[in-house]
Amino acid sequence: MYKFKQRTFLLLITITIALLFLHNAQKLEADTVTTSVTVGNTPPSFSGNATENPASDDTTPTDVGSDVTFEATANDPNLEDYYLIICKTNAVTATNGGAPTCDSGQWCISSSTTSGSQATCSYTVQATDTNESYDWYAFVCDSNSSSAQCSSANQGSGSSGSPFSVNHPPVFDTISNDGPKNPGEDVTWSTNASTTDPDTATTADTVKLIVCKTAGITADDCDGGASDRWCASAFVADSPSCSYTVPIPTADDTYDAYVYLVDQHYLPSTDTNQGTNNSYVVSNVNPVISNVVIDSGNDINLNESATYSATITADVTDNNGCNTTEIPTVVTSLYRSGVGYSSCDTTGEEDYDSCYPVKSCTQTSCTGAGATYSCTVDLQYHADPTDTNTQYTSENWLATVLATDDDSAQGSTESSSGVEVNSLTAMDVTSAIDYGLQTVGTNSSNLDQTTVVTATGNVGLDEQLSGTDMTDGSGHTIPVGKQHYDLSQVAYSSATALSTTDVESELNVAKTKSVGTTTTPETGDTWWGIEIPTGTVSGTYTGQDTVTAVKGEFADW
Amino acid sequence: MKITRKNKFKLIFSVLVILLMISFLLPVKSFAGFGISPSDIVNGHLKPGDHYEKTIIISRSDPTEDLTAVVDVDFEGIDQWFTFDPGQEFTLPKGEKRFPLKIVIDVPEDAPVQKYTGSIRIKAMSPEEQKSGVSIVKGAKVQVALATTELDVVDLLIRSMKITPAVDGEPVILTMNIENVGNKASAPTKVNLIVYDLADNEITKATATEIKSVEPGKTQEVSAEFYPDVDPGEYFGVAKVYLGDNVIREAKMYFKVNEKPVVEENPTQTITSTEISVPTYVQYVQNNMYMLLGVGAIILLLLLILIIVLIKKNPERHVNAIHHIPYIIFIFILLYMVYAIVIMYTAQELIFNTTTTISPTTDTSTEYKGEENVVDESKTPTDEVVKGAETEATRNVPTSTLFVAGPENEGIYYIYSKPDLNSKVVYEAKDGEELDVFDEQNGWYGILLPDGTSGWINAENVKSVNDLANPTYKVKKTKTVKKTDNSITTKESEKTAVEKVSDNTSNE
Repeated sequence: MYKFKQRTFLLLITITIALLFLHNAQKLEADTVTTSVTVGNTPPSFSGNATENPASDDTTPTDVGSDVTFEATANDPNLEDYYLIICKTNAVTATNGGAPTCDSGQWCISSSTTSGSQATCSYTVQATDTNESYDWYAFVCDSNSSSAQCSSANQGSGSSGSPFSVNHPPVFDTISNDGPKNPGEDVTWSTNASTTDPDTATTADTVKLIVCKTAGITADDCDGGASDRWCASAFVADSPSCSYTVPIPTADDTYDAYVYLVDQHYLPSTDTNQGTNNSYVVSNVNPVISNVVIDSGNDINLNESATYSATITADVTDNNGCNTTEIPTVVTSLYRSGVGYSSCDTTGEEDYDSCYPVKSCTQTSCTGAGATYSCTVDLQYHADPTDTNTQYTSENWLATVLATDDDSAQGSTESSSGVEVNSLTAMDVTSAIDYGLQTVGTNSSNLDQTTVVTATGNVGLDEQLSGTDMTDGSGHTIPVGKQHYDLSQVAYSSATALSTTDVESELNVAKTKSVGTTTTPETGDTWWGIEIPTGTVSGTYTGQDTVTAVKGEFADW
Repeated sequence: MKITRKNKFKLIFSVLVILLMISFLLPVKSFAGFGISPSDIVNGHLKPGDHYEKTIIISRSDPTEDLTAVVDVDFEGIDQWFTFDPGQEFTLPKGEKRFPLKIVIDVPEDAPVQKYTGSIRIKAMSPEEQKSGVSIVKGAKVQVALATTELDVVDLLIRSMKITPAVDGEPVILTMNIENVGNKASAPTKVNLIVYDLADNEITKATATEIKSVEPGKTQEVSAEFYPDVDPGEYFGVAKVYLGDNVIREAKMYFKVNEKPVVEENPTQTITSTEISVPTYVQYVQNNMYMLLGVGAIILLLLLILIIVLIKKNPERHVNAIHHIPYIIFIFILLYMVYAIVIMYTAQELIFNTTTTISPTTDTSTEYKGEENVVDESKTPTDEVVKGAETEATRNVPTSTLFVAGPENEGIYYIYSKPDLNSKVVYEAKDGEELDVFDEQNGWYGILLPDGTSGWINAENVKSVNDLANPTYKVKKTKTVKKTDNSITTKESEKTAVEKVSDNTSNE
């Protein structure tokens, strides 16, 4: 037991001594560092290349106003943080305890970045950066407090390496359009040769003119797309222009047109013309009348002692639109061809015989630029006939339709083919002859009854007369020949005896005419008398005489 | 009796009145004027065997009574050539200011070549007997000048022309109203059509030579078809009609080429019907709901009156009841309300509690391209609409018909998508076409189109309309749903009954 305790005690002592030795060994070492040795700073180094992200080259240059972003990753052997600095030249100066500086101009510098992490910095391309490309030199520097160090320059490689390319906005020198234009014509927006792109390195940039209905573009088109666009040019070197065909119909008005110029990289111009309103004007055009037709082309048969409504139809076309706002007034004039439209185009010239001017028309349909109109003209019963055996046989009736638009522009057309107004042989006549109470065996010494024929058509009249025996209904008659007639009040004995067959009498009633719109019906009288033969049984006798209207010789009208 | 001054005046006055009355009683007949137009019939190139017709118009300004018209022919030797439609004696009806008389001339095959002149007299007589004096019968004479010939005479008169709206890919049709004033069936030799745009730039030309001939003496509408290579749009067409080498008519016309109508590819949803049955009593209640409500009201009212009368008749026996009459009345009202709810619920129960499944079926229909033709069922005049679940398919049911009209021979009348001349044209109706009406607004008629869609026509283009205010038909919709196992299925059918207002008979 005593031995065991002894061994244990010795083991413990040994362990203690060993521990003490080791401790002292370390302490000795420490004591060795502090006793004094001096060491130098190592600059960070690039891990891979510095790059532009995105790449900025001739194909995808950086627009003025946009950023060129540089990226790089560096490792510092001293595990110090580093700066990525992009210089304009291959010269940089490290700063102890701070950020480095470029000797001859800096594009950008990153913030202090942990060794092994990516550093980035950006440069916004300025309008004053007038070159198309700029060299850059990337450095990574630490900020050692006593001996800051920078790496050698790195310019990257390929399209993402130095230099970065700058895209300058196109020059929008002039803009104009060649309006006013009519519907159906082209309106063209044009620029000049100075409207071009200043970037000409490698291949010159091209420019495109865009003309929009409303303000605003996106990329190389109007914000609203095709429906918002009047026109757009192709990408050309200079002087872009484009045209827009004004459709038919288009209302006469001024239309907004916002003009834009972009280059092939969709960079818009910054000049004063950009986005301005270069409006164009659509002119008012005259309405056009076509296919004027009177009563479907059929000859007109008037109405006895009344009016006849003739219908005139026409097509009215207005390239500014066919609605009644654009064409508020359409009228027609109907006239005998010998009168002519020039003598029948105002209301004061109206004459019921031959001229019916300025009668209103109603629109019956309207689509696009074309409308149809219908007009009604009430012809009087005595409107001049133009058919055979009349004084106007060589003539016919024509119509002209006149349309006036909201700008007082007018169009008119005469019917290409007229119609005949046919002769209307018509009359009104006294309805009966009342001989009154007569004595048997006597006659009217002078003709004392009249029938009055009134011309209620458009021709002069003669008459044919015939009659029947008068009867009392009980078999007793007064022969028809006992009625005598004449065109004057002559003696019974010298007047003409009526017969059962028609006999023409030259009554020569003139054609009823008008002076302007005042009509005076023409009349003609026929005198009548009767003889009651001896032996006639007393009673009430009735009979029937026929008065037939005959179209008279037009020389007597 | 002494005749005083006062009496004297009375006597004179009375005599005057009587005389005045007698004068009005005298049978002095009068009817206003009478005329015929045209007054001349001329045909200088009738061939033996020819049939020639000419219509004259008999007009009266004041047709207050029927008149008997008699036609006499005064043509030496050839009276038998003439016949008349409606005849040689006919009635001129009162109220008709214009009456057509067709004169038909049939030239015998052996008629010699010569000139003929004569006349036709038409006289009009009142059917009333003359009581005294000599009545005057009015007549009017038509002068007739004919000539027969063995020569062929080819002569056409183009009365009017119009290019009807065309459809892309289909021919452009020129319609001509042609009167053959010759004596041989003829047609224009050719028609040239030059097409211009609306800026008057010539676009293309086309010629038509296949034109139907017109018989001599006839006036007929014939067409010429062209196939110009033009896109849909608006144009001017200048048509020249040739007879031989001569241009007999030339006119400039506006016309339109429309887009091809769009054929609907997606099927129109329709409701499928399935075989469904409901209890008879429910059907009875549905069909007679208002009658049952009325009868119930009457019975309860009579019962109430009876009770009140009985109470008041024996007030001693019903002392307490007299004071409770208002409450009795109130109870009866409640009873009626319960009854009414039960009836209405029974009638409409199946619709309120159903859900609907619609199975689309294939139903292709052609509609004209244009603005959407949305059929608004709310505009359909209905008398009794059974309410229920929403349905996908809606349609207007006609309540009357109208006839399209406008200027004669105008040809085409536009039907618009809305009651607005500036809306799109969806159909072109022809003169005389009959269309069903479903609505009327501000001088427009809503009409159903042959392809099942609808449109609007301006009232000015309507010739006549069946009574729209009192429609001949009303719409009644009924729905039935199958009940199986006390549950309600999701399928239902809808039937639209068009029934006459006059007899309430359903025509399904």
